[in-house]
Amino acid sequence: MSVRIRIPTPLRRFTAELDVVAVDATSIRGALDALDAKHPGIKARLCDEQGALRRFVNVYYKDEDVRFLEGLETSIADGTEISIVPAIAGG
Amino acid sequence: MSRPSSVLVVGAGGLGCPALIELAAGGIERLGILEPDRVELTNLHRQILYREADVGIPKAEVAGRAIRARWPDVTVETFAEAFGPSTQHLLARYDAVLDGTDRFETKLLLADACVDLGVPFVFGGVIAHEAQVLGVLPGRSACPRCLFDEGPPPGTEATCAELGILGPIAGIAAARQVEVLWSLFGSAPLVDVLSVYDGRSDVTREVRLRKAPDCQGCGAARTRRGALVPPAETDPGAEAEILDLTGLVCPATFVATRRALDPLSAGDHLWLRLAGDEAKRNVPASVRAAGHRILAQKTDGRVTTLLIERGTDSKGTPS
Repeated sequence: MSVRIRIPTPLRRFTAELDVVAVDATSIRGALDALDAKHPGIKARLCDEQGALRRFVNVYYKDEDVRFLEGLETSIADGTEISIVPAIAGG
Repeated sequence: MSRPSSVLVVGAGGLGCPALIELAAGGIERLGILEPDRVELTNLHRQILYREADVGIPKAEVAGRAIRARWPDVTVETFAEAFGPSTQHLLARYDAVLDGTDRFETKLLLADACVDLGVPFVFGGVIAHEAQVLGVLPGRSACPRCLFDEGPPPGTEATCAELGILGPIAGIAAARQVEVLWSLFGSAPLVDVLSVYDGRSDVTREVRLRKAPDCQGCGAARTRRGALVPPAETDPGAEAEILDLTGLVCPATFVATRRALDPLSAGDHLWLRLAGDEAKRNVPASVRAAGHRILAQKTDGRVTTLLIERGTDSKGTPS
């Protein structure tokens, strides 16, 4: 099942400046693992050592915060989109 | 649509400069500018109120002068200080606050203070060609902590120093902040939506937010961070007993403060009055170091009034 992951500007250094990466997965966790397999190092920016999402990063699936769904275990459907929304500090 | 008559802009940098222009042009009667830094050469490409001749001069002063020169009818109040415990009381003097700060932790603290004081607020952030904007109506809508509980620790995220900020993107973000700010006073406030703009593709996405019940900024976990006392409650009033230390200097101010706090129980409050810059700086620092909390700090001329809550830690040794 192919899903698109939207990559925010601060993390595009891990994806060779790609703003969207397509991966095959059936859950949010699987999608982030697949993203890390394609672009090593990016998952450590999103998840802590225990595998939980970091508190300054949010993941949205179909415009809904995954914290209000099933978290990283949320099932995902073919052709849908995941967005990564990090805290942006500059001003 | 009704509009606010006064706005405090916290941070007069890439977001603050264009926002100040839009707010003055938009008819705001009284503008406050809170900004501790001086103009640097590297600021000029995006901080559009400053010129090369202003390098080294406090930004609050230059920005205030520029706004007054172009809009003489606007009352401009400048504060060349950082946002923090000694300046947070300023927020309540304005109808709304616009965030132009450049550190995430500061943005969260500013949001917390606005929520506690009930002041409508517009959060903004920008890096490279990406920007985020969120309008907040305290008590009604989600706050930044509903989305991000904390800022990225140093070294874990690409910084503005590494990626830079494209000047026009800061301008677009500031324009959006002002648009959202106007809406907060209208019938269809733009809240519970984080606006994410990508300048490379020129696409804005709207990320829906929910007010998180256990949010540390505006929800049930608010007490964990220690909520501010709203201004009405920070006025000692005629009945309150105030320990007047205005006739003392350091270290007598420390000793008298400790002696007053020692016999109190945890959670008890103490009002204190101090005079002079040294006491204003050092006494709150030593009170915090001893495990107590500053609930309010107000400075009027040379005199500073503090409201202290006694902590559970009884070491109480002045630093």
